[in-house]
Amino acid sequence: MNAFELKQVRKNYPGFSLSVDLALPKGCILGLIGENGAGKSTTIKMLLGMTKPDEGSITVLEHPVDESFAPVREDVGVVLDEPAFPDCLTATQVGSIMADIYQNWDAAEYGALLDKLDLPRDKKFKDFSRGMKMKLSIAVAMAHKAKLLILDEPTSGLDPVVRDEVVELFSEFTRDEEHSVLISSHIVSDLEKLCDYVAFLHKGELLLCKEKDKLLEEYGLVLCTREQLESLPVTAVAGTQDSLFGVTALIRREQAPEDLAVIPVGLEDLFVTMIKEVDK
Amino acid sequence: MKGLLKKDLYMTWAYSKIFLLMSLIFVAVSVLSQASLFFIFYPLLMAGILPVSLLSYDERFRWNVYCDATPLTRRQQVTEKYLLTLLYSVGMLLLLALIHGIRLISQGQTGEFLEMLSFMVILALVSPALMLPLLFRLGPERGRLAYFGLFAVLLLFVTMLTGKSMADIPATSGPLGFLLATLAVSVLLFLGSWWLSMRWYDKREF
Repeated sequence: MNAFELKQVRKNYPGFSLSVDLALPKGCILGLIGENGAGKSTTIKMLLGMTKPDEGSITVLEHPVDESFAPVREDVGVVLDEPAFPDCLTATQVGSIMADIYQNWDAAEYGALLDKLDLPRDKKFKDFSRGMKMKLSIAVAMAHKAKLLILDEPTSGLDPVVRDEVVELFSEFTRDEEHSVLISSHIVSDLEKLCDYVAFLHKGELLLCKEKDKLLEEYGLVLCTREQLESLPVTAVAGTQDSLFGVTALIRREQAPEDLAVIPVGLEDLFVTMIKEVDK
Repeated sequence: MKGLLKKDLYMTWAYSKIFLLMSLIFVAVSVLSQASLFFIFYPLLMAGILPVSLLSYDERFRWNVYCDATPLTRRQQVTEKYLLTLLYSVGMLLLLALIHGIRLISQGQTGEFLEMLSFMVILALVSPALMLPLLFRLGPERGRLAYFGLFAVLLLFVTMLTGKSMADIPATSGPLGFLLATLAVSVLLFLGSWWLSMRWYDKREF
């Protein structure tokens, strides 16, 4: 069973077109990786019914995303790319408002999250740092017993220590097998720690969507000369980047010669090399 | 919707308490300075503009975008702003009507009171009824400009159509008839405005 499905979805804007076919199995975390303007936020807005696709169909928690979708958002916790609470409100007031918006609002859980994330209750939102604003958005998203978290750049503006705590929170959330998370970020290291699946989005096109571990097993990096590179099977090479000592090649391990030293590749290198290859 | 109302009440207190205070001072001055209608009409206009200001704040803080990620429908978001308009405008209208009603009726000026009440109803209901759909359709900046244009055109149209100034109309229909007609048209316009705002806001994409 999938937490959400985007089937052959297209959205056209002047000068930009987004095309996605994506699904997230329940109980899993999917990381959506893409450069700024790749279409991550548009994908998220379509999943929430905030933007209508021009083609294709979308289902979230087994409900079609259409005019009757609003009540389903009761089960979806959302962090948008920009924190969006009025400046004059305090965390306590935000909690009081949200308790009247979400039927399943859990005030005790919200209080615990405020404590865990070290957020002051009576300080105004305008006096929060960007990181604190993001943490308040996260606390709200996780305090109404959501089954699916949709998080658009939730770790941006957070320092490494807090990022680690927040990533741990999301990870704990998916210990319940009914819970799923979609998280977009360009801080790939966070996604590498957290995700079961990763999807690469580049200039509105979905380059791939795979299980993270399989993907990292499938590919590796080779540091070699141009001559060594040319001796490799063409289908083995997924991308190349010039380096100080020759060429760094992203290759499919299965097709690599046995005598070639293949080193593990991280998600960031994998993504950057792949999109550079696409742009060539 | 209760959550939205609560949020707007918090925001009114935070951003508009000075306007509330000014309005109350104007109400008090209107009792002392009985010659000028300005002190009666101004608080009504202010009360009608408060929800419009809150809508502008919502856009500035991207709260309107966030709302679309919650279980609230677009229709609920629009309806809440109309309820708030009723709360502020009708609240102010009742306060002014009570104060000036007692004053004028006790002086035997019932006709004058009904005429004044008619114009108060127009200010309390028609002004926000014209402005809100434009704001929901175009956003606060362009919506406000469109409203000023529309208001000028309507005023010109009504004046030309009747061939009189607005203040002469009650004399031809009688104060009570004019009040009832004004009330009926204002309520219909307000309901039509609510319906139009829901339709237009449903179609808007951020």
